[in-house]
This record gives sequence, structure tokens and C-alpha cells, in this order.
Amino acid sequence: MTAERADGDRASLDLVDDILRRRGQDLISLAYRVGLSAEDAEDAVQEAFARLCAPINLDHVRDPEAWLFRTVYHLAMDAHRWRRRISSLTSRVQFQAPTVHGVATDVDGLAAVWSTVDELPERQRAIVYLRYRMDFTYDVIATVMGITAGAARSQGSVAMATLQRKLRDVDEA
Amino acid sequence: MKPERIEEFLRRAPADEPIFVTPSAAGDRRVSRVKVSGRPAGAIGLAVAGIAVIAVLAAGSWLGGRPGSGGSPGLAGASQDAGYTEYCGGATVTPADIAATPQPLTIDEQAVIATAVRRAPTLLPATSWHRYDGTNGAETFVAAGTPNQVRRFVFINAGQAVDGTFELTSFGDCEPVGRGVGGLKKMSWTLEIDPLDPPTVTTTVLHGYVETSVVETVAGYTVTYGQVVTIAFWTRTLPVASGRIVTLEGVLHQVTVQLAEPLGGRDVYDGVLEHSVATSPPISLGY
Repeated sequence: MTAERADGDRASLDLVDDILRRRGQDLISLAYRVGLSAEDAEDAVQEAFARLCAPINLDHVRDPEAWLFRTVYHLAMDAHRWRRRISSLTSRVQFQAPTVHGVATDVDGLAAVWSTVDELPERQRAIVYLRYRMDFTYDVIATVMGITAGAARSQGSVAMATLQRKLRDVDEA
Repeated sequence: MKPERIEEFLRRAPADEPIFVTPSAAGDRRVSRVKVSGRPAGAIGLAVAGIAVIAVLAAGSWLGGRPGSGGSPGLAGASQDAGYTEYCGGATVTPADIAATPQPLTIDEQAVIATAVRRAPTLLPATSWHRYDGTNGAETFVAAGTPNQVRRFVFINAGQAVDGTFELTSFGDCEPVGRGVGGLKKMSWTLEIDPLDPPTVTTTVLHGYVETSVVETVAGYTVTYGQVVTIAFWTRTLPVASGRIVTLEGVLHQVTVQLAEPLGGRDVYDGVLEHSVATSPPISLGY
């Protein structure tokens, strides 16, 4: 016996479908940057959407996008998933700009910056991603991560200071 | 590196991030479930006060209007070239389409394909891409090959961005599956757990999801009772006109299973059961 969703549910499912198309890449990138492998990041996003589709959530979540970012972030922070990423992080080679005359290319600079971001603590990494890639305010970041806006702003400042210090010697043309 | 330059780079995506595979932009508004296969099996323990005595019921109670022996309704008429060949990624095409001479591609289209190939060097070394036009400016490019003597398709989906540029949206590859019209196929499915109303020892109704392609319909399910109670959902292929049909990757169907007896002292597993439990016969969901 099978039953398709009633028409009354179609509006909600259409919303989920729309969010999937618009935010799927952003969500998987968040999970990846926080420390999951590509496969685990995809699983985390799948899980988040599956939870959103549960009737209890679909009918009661006010801001599905924020809810998804928050859910993906917390799934990504799960301890046993995080440990799988640790090995790949520690084995990642420190960025060495393949330079000629000490000058890095644009692509090298992009890789250098994000390689350095990956060395940050996971919370700072998430804040950097949400602040710059998603252009979220610190209030929204606080909602996603379950911290205060002040803590988000503080950790963001610390992260930027670390990036500036580590990337100070990377020259560009 | 100057701080403003760092911030500029922080606003851009590096090349190492995984690409999220989106459904084809076919204009179909039905929900496409993010891939549900491959989820790890997890045991959902039930509050059990003693082990239920399992009566051996008649095997193979077929629900859905079709008598069955409770085993495996055969997959009728399936062959590589019967009816059509379907592959994951969106377009449903005929083998003849793939074998045809490809149309010339525009510069924008070539750029999109080059972007995909650059990001995924493991894509087939395809030199001839067939273009299939979707709706709202979406296109799918398909190429076929036989790496390691196994026939595979690769696909690249692209569409119009908000600013009007033509951009890559997703890509992937898979082996084609031949399926005859009307043929039945056993499908995996996912149990839906309501956190406010989880299954209990007295539960006789289970809810879940089956994901199918748009050319399939859920035909019904079988429940096979034994030491392991197995619930398998079956889909039937719908007759479609031969040709190019751009589809979503999947259509979500909400399903309900009526058990002939309460769950009792069973564990419920989501996914393929890889071992049997002697004292607490589990229900295996899926196949």
C-alpha cells in the first residue's frame, strides 16, 4: 500500500525542494570545512534534510534555512565523525606556494588561505565560513552554532588574527 | 598577504570542496530526496518486557493487489535495450540516442564541460557529449564509455544562473540499468521515526519513504515472516514514450506498512540486515 503526500503538504515539500537546490552546496561546504570528509559531509546534509522533512519539523520550523545550517553544523561536530577527519587534517601538507621569485598565483593564494583556515579550531573554522562565504551576521552565526553573538564575534576576530599572522609571509604579485 | 586580500579569498570557494549533486532542473516541483542509500544500519532498540512469541505466519503476504508467493516477483522483461535504458543523473534516453552523432556544442557549453572535467578528472575521457535540453534553460550532457569493460554513463548538468550566466550545477556517473516496461524492482526504503511517537512493542503500523525515479510507481510491498521478518517494497516501471525525458533524480513516496502482528520484542533495523539475531528476531527493512 502506498500513499503520496496529500496536496496540503506539497507547499512545504516544495519549500524544502527549493532550499535543497539553493543551499545544498553551501551546507555540504560547511560540513566539509568544519572537518568532515566529502562523504560524511554529504551524509550530514542528507540527515539534516531528512530530519526537516519529518512532519514534526516540517510543520513547526520557522526558519528552515537557519535550522538546516544549525543541524548540519551540529551533526558535523559529532565526535566520532570529527575523528575521521583528524587523520586527513594532520596529514595535509602545509601549504608551500609553488612560487617563482617568491610570488604566488591567485589560485595558490586561494588554496593557501583555505588551507590555513583548515588549521583553525573547528569552531573558528565554522565562524569564518559562515561569516565570509555565507555572509551571515554574527547574530545568525550565533543561532546556527548555539553560542552568543559576542562569542561568535570574539572567536571570529581571533580567527582572522591567526590567519593574518600565518599568511603574512605569503606574497602575491 | 594583506588582510583585505585574505578576506577576498575567504569569500571564494576553494577547489577542494565537494560538489553537491542537485536534481535536474526539470521544472517538476515534486521533492527529490537527497540520496538515502548508503546510510549506515542502526539499531533502534525497543523497550521490551520479555520476548514476544513469534507465530510462523504464511509466508509472502503480498499487499498491493497482487498475489505472490512472498518471495521475489520476477523482474519481467528486463534487458539492456528493452524499452529504454535509464541512468542516474537525470535524463532517460535510449541507447540509440547515445550512439547518435553528437550535436556541436557552444563555447559556453564547452566551458561548463571543461569545468566539470577539471574538477573531476576521474570522469570518463569523453570526447563526444550529447546535449539534452531541459526546461528553464537547463541542459544535460551525456557521454558513454566502457572503462574496465563495464559500460558507464557520465552526465553533466548545467543551467542558467540568476545573473543569466550558464553554469555547472552537478555531474556524476553510473552504470545504466536496463528495465522493461511493467517490470517490478525491489527497492530499499527508509523508516520514518516520529521522535514524539516512536515504535513500541505494540506497534503494528510503520511509516517510511521510498524514493523512485519519475518513471516508476510504488507497486506494493511484501512481508516475509520467519526468524527475520523482511519488508520489501516493489516499484513498477511506467510506460513512457521513447525519447528524451529530463527527470529529477528521485521522487519521494510516503508509504505505510501494516504488520500482521505487533513489533513485540524485535529490534528494528533501517537498511540491509547483515546478521540474524537469535533471541530477538529483527525486522529487516529493505533488502
